[in-house]
Amino acid sequence: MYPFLLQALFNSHHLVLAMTVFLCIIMVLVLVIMSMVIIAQYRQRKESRLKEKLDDLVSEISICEDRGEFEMLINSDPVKQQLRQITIDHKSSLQTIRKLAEATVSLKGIALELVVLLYGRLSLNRVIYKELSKRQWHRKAHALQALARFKDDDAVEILRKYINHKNIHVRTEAQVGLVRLKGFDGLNDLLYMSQSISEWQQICLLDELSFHQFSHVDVLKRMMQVHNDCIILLALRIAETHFCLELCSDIDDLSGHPSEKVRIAAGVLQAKLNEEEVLWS
Amino acid sequence: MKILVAEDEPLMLKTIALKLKKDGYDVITAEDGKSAIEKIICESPELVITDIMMPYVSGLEIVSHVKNSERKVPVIVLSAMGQEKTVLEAFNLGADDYMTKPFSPNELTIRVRKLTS
Repeated sequence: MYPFLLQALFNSHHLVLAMTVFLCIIMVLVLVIMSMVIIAQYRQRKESRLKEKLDDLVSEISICEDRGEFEMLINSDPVKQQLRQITIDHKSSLQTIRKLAEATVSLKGIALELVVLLYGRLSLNRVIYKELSKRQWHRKAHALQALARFKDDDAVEILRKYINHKNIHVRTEAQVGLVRLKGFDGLNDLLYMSQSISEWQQICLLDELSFHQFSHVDVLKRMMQVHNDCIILLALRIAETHFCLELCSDIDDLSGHPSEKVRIAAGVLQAKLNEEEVLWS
Repeated sequence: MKILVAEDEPLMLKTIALKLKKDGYDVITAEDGKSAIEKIICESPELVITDIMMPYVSGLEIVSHVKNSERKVPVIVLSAMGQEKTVLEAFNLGADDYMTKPFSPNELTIRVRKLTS
């Protein structure tokens, strides 16, 4: 019976049918893959055309001498059309935000003001708020970074909401953004944090603080009294950077802190400050 | 007057080139250090503006190349690296001016005008 069954199943007609079906499946798969590749290439070309358009537009705006020239430029028909194209959909708007944010890093003076002005004119803050509502952490982080770079009116309030976020990258961007906008005053918002601040985050904060004038010994005193050890360690780092001799007694008080890390850091800083005091006296 | 701008960031390269063209200069651009040196040899610019961190050949090597060549043209270094060590190195190699990013395009053209007058 079995040989008969095998013969019935595997006769040449069935084999040809099976091969044909198999080939059709392969062809369909190949077509699907090819169309995916073509679509991806098309999208990539579209993206690089948009990037080039953005480079041209942002550089033209950056070299305007004053606001009058800027207004003339953005009200001209070709530029109006370009502005419509670069904000035609959410993805294009995001690319525009990224390009403008890139420009804010390298430019200053009137060029920077005009880039920020363009951001406002295009109402790109709405796109950023939309990004903040997304679940993915990297979208939130990028959005917070952009908010701080463009000095959005609502930036401070929004950044405050994220400084204690469970994702380290999101809260880093919020903390650095706050400091970028408020300088040392921004550290007051960190006092109530319960999440940790890593070494890398501390370095980012210190780097951002280096652009602001230091005169906030009181905020450091308050930071040394919180429960979060990371905040205390950050305060000690800032005190070390600015040789805060006036904080010697507060640093001395930390020698009895329950955390060994804090005790060691306070001890090392105390020794350094004492050395400085002797040098200068 | 021909000015060579060497910068690997496309946006900054366009911004500087456009600004200099607006001010009436003839601008040659290079997106990396290697093509910058090739263009310095072929086009003989009268001033060079270069970034420091670039692919293949750094801006400091470009400064050194220009200052060791027969035609010692002025060089402005424009960089995000504002550390004292880098600035000193650039001046020791012969750079005529150094600007750190973020920079103002207007300030750059004033410095260019000063070096080319």
